[in-house]
Amino acid sequence: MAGSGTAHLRPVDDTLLRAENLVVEFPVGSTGLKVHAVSDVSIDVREGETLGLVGESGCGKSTTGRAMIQMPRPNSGHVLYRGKDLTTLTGRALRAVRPEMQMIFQDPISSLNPRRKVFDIVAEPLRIWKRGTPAEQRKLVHETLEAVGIPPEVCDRRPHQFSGGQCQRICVARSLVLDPKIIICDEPVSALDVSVQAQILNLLEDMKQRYGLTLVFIAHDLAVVKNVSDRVAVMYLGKLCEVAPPDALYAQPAHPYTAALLESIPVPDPTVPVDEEATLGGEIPSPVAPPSGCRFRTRCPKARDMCAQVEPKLRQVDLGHYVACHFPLEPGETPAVTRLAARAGTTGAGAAASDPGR
Amino acid sequence: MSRKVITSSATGTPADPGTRLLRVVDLKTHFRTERGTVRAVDGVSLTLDRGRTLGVVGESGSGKTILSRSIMGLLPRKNVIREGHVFYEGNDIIGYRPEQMREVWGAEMAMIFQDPMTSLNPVMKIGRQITESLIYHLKMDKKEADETALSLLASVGIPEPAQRLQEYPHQLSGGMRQRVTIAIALACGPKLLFADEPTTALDVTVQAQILNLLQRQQRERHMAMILVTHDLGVVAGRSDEIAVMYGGKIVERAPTRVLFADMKMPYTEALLNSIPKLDHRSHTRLEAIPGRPPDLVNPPKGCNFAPRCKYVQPRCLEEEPPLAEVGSTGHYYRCWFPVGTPEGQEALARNRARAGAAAAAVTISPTRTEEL
Repeated sequence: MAGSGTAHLRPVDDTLLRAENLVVEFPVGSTGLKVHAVSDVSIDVREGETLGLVGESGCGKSTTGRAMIQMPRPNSGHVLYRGKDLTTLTGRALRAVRPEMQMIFQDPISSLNPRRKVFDIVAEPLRIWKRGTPAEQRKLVHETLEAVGIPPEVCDRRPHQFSGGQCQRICVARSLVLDPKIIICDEPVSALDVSVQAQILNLLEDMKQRYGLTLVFIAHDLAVVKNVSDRVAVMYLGKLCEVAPPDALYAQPAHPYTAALLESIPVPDPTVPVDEEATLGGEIPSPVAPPSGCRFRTRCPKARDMCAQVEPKLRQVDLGHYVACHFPLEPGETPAVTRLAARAGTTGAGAAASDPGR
Repeated sequence: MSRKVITSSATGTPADPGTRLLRVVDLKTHFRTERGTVRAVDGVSLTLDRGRTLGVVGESGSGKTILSRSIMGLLPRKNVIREGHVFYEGNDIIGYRPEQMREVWGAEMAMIFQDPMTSLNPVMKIGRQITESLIYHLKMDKKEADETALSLLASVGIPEPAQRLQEYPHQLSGGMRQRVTIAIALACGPKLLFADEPTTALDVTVQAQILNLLQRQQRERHMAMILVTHDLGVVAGRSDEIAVMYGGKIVERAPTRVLFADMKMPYTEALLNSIPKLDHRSHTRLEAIPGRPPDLVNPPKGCNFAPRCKYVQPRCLEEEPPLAEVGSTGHYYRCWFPVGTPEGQEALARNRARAGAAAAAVTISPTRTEEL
């Protein structure tokens, strides 16, 4: 896993946003060392599609999402938006494209200015871009607030008078008023309670339909990502591990890391036994000095000598299903760490393979 | 004096063989604020024995964290009203003075907090943070305490423990820091361990490691554990009993398997249904719970959950249901129209029929689910 390659990319004219060989590095103070946040990641998203980016903290998923809309610009690589290379655009030309690309952040409360009224927060993008007369702006803001489930009567209130879930609705409204084509959602529900999380996920699905949006959905929760995505990319330490349609990815993970991630999710069902041996050991290595070859090899139950020397490239294992691993899991195979669990645990058809919840 | 009472039972022979390790009776914890009295914990009763795990589940603001802190006596005194009884090995510790509680904290009961970053002292080496309680409670000398700390760090799975003792918290990862807080909590061999959202700040693979560690330590040390979480998945495989909290009250309590197999409280059902499941196809519409948790200053009349409940009937808005037991199965719930009963089914059917009629009359925006 943890490899590069472009085999999974689709034709340019078929995609809305396409990132090629993105590299993002941050200097570590004045030490001369670099944090390799994103290393040669290529990913694309079709119009109307939801791309899920998933991985643990520090895997580079947020940085990838931000680099796709040039916030900040990547150190190298290209980002094609409707065939136009954003990385070569001047600041002014890039700014002209910005209204079509919006972002929703993790913490809804801190991403709203506490001193401003909700109406002004949502109307600001329209004012900046001088869209319509004040009366038209007012109408559009009210319509958008109504669409996200905030009654327009309360738009004179300030953010602290709303709950976290409502603040996230306001953030969604703010991102919608300019009629964007693509929204980068960076962990939009991880600060919310489960009951409210479901409201916001449903809202995003509704808004996607209503406004014809394309979404890049970044999250660490695999179940959430599965629920919203049309295509899921699993990241580890600045690299892509696996790209696949969600149902295939979860039913038949090909990368040992994906399988381990799925194993780790606690299942809300007490009849599913918890296997203490089936846990991925160790921790994510430092992105300042990532391991050679496959970056996952230090924790991988299937790692061999080759994994330290040669970096795996993404290659197709099934229709639309790509994996960057020298020794991907065969259909029906579970990685060494999970084999015990499968034997001791679930019964019935296709035990471990068809039981992604384990 | 309290020291004596407690150490007599610490020898392993409780004064009365029928004494439970922990028995909480009608515990109330209210806060006086400018807005009025916040009823954060409002009449909670529970019991727990050694070697058992109680999962306390609830959303933010349900009172689950205040409950555990109130049992442990970790709340400030000012503007806090704390009533009821907390029997620890038969002694009511609710009236203990801080210096009496100091003999209980660490030695008898300990707590692990959500955020390992802020619960460790950033300017004290890890070794000293562990040996502090060993020297205070167990009267160890420095050398003995250092050796114990070393074996504690090793037992919680920290690589190179000798080197780690000399390091500061910022030099460790989040998962390693949480292992250190576990080592500190376990240092004096407490009989009761509170774990308050111990894995919420951690990644999913590290979460599994930490939960396994807690479970193993609990088994080996025959501790009782109260595992507080918002995630039903975390407690499902790792608790003997679950208490679901909503609006400062326990709304359902049952042995874990019974709870999942036969949940009675509409809130528990709604909570479980709102979680995205891995075995559902992508784009499965989630059953969100409309509205938001109750205001604990002015809780609604009747059942707390009634304004968000799909089983709600006029009675629910008037009378508060008591915590009733199903036969004598140890399964308690607080509902007039429980899930899976004829009354519940009837209530649901009635509401659906009415919603159908209403929807035909007025078309409501499907996303307008939160009330203001």
